[in-house]
Amino acid sequence: MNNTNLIEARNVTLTYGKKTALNGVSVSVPKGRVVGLLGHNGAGKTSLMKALVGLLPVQGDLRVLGLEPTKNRQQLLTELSYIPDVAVLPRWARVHELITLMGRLQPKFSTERARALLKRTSVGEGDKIKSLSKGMVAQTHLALIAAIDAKLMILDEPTLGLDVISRKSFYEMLIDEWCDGERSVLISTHQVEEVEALLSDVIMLDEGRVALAISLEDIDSRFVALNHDQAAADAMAAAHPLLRYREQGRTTSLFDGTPPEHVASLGQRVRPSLVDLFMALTRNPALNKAQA
Amino acid sequence: MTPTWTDQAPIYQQLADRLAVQLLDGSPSEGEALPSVRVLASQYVINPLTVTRALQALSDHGLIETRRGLGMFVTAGARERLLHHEREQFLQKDWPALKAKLKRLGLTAKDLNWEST
Amino acid sequence: MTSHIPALLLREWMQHKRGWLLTLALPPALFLVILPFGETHGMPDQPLAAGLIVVMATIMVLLLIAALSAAFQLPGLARRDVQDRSIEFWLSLPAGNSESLLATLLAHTLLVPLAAVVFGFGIGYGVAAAVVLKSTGVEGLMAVPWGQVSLLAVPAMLRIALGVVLALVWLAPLILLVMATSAWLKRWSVAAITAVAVITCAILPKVYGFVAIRDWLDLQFAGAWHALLANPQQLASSPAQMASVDSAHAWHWAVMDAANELQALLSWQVASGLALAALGFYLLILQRRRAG
Repeated sequence: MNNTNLIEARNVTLTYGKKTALNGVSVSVPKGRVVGLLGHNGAGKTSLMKALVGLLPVQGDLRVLGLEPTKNRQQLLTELSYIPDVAVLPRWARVHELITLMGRLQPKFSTERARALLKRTSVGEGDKIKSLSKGMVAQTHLALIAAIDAKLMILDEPTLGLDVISRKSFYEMLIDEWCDGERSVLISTHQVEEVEALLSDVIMLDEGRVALAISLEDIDSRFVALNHDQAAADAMAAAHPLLRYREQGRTTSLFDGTPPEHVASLGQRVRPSLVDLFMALTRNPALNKAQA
Repeated sequence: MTPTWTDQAPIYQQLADRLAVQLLDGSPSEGEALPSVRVLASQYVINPLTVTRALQALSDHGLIETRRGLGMFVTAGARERLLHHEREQFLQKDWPALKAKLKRLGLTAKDLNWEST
Repeated sequence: MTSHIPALLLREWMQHKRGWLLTLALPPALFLVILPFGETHGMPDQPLAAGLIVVMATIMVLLLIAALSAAFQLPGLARRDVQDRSIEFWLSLPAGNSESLLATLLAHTLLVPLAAVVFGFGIGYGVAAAVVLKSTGVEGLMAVPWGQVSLLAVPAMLRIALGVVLALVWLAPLILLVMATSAWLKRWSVAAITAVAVITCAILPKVYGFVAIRDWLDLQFAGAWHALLANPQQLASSPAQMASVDSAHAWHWAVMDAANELQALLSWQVASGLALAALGFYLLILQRRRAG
């Protein structure tokens, strides 16, 4: 087992009664990475994150920062920061009270940093959480978490409810402050196109299994997307692409691996977007229901 | 402001192309240092690893070089090389299509008002 | 592990301080406002007794208010943070489940009643002065030997303070089991507790002659009551006698009384209660884990 990986999961399975939330999940996350966790609703993203922070017990081998999450939860929580949901700050508290409490509970929390980050938002330290809009609560939660000097950040949809400007501000902060080559971030989000450029790696979950766990660099070399016109459609289809989609009169066929030479020359190579790859490799539960 | 990335090429390649265009315009000029990986990542809001790949691509084309401990610098003659490369690209790829279009539209050299641009 | 408890106690203060201050300060304030318009009855003629009785009464009344307020709040406390999901925020910070529960229990069942005793003692003098003034005028007020009142009130107050701690030991099983019921059965807990009370204290004894549970409960309550203040008559059986009690005697009484009650703790009754209390605590922790 590679000891420098921040997250090392081997054959992790999680069952709730009859339901299997995670099925034989194996992933590793080294340091210095920004990993996007993609999956449809119910695919297991939240379950995986909860397992990583020791909230849910799992079968199989799971090590986070070298520790077993459920056994060493307290110690683990001093080294990582976790956002389960940006809407769960206690409503009775004032912002400065949360800053004080976090300062006392979380050894890696920096009060000055939290204050500095909050100044960039429209949230005041004297504000009561219950008086803030959903977006402002999210901004506050993000500022508090960003003030923790953690090696690993696990964020479950951190930009939910934020407007475009706040999201951009968060992405900038992520790049500026967290991408120092030592920390890693695991972020699940539905805004795949927005975060694509920030990611170094991606993990796609489909019904509890890992559909794809790959670095973005490897995506460029492994997957081939060919943009072609209608005439080449049959030839393309014969080569068994993963997915085909149409845009403005032209079709793009997506292949796992290099298609045969004669097929490749029929189209122009384009970049497979993460969204397209995601659609190709995972089953959309809504679609499944419609077909059933 | 952060520009959006198209689907025509991998993001690192697009970044390399943008940086190359800037090189052509002389910023930074030959012998000068490029902004650091962190600065570029921050500027374009891209993962630093992608920025590194882009810089590697430029380095592979001989346009920039690493000076140990100091960072990446524009190589001598880079602009010339880049200009030559871009000219080749244009003449071989972009020009034929453009020429065909001009023919289709019935435009001649006279219509193009070349001298006044 | 225990290092988080101060921070967690601070949280309790931040969240509940308004309620606590109001509960303790309002009744005496109201009393003092109404006093000029009412009438005092049954005040002893003896000035020393008059002063002492009101001081002690203030302590006992505030303690009662604090106890009732805690009793009303405890079921809600068991389910606190779950409805607004803020428990997920707390669980994302270091601080174990046991610590968190312990801090909550300490604050509400021990620290607040103790504060009520001390505050009652302090403000009791003011209330006593007001009442004596009202009932016997300025001469009566001047006649009260406050020094001697203190000689008796201080050991009595300390005895009661210790009594709060001891009573908690007796009441622990009831407190924790009620909270556990509330945490697990939520809305049905009131009905469930009422049903259990009716069954064990009315139906089983009357219909089946099964009195064991009712008797056990009786002993717990009696134990708690005695722990609080076992034998005040030993100190002074009448107001007139109070004047002749000196400091040494008062302290002697307080210490002996306390010793008796401490000894009473070494019994199977208490041990069985503590075992049930531990069960209740464990059930509460289980529920907290599931809430994450």
